Amino acid sequence: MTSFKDRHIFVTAERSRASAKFVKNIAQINSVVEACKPLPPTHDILKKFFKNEKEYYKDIFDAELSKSIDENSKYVFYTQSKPDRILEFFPNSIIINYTQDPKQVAKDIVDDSVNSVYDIEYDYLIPQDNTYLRFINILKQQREDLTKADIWAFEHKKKFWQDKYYDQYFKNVENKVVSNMFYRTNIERDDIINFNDKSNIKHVKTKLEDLLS
Amino acid sequence: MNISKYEQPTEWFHVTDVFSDFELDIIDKFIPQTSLDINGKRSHNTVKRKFVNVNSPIQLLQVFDKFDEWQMRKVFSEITGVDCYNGKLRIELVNDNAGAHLEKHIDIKEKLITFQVYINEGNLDWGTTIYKDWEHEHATVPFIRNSGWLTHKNVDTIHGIKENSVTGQRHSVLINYIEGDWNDTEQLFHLQ
Repeated sequence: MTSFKDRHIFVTAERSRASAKFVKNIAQINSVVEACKPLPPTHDILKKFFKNEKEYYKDIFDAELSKSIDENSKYVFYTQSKPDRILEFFPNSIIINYTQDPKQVAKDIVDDSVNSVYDIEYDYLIPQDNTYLRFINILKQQREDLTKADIWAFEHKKKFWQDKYYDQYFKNVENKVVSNMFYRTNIERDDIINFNDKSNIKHVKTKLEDLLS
Repeated sequence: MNISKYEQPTEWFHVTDVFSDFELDIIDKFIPQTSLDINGKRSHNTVKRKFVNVNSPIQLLQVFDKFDEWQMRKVFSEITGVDCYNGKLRIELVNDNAGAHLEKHIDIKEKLITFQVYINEGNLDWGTTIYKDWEHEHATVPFIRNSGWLTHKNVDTIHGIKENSVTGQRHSVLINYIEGDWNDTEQLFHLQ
């Protein structure tokens, strides 16, 4: 599994408009190239489908990664997995840890979950007999325009989404984001570049280019 | 249960998603109705405190039974490096009053681990503060329902609750594995 030992770049952040924009910005650095096919997702994206993180990286991620990359190039992964989890599987990686305002992030996540139809990302990686996939497909049969909020409501209330759940759902998401952000703001390691809304992106790029050169 | 390890100021752990919604509802039901005034030391109120033991309702015992099983002991043993397999289990349901504060302290070494899970909703700053040393704060664990923090006997984690931070009832569960003779046997999950 040589690909795991390569020096990849991981931007680890809660999913939000700001963090997605940040990743695009980082990926424009000359030395970071696009893969010939989509990079496989880190475990956090498919964790409901694959419970065992170690097996996922070993059995699925590794094979997919070798199809996507040119060994002489560097790639940027966008992940919600926390830095310690990434470093456990990719010990030589460069980690950019992005911290944001938890309230805004929670609002972005909830708005997206309530208003956007749920598409299973990377469905080609998921076996048809996967238990969670079957659960999602049953929900989709009942509701064509299934949202992430519907899934949350079904997992917690055994019912599809109703607006009266909004406050509880928001609190649930906010609690998770605040906990994660607490971790992100309290991690200080030499192999992690910390970045927040007040940081200067030029400094990050310079630091990154130094590390890559 | 998700566990994040910190290495500063000493090794300690932040833990989230500890109980299921169903288990939380049961714990809510059995948290003591009367809150305790905690003025510096929790041990001042020993007589009034509520521990989970064989005399507790079966629903409550079922919630906490997993902490007595070897699988859970294995998790704690592996993350901390402290052998928790033979420790006596001690579980306390806590309702601290508004105004509660705990002096900075290090837990006694008979406690193999101390694991506190916050149960109700409150302000983020009601959480336990961890200190760099006896003078300087490091961080306050966010007080979020179903999350908490964990330390163990091999590290000196200085912690406490800051004065004037808790402005309402603060519900939590305190879980210890204990070694040696523990005089207050009625505090133990299995009465000795």
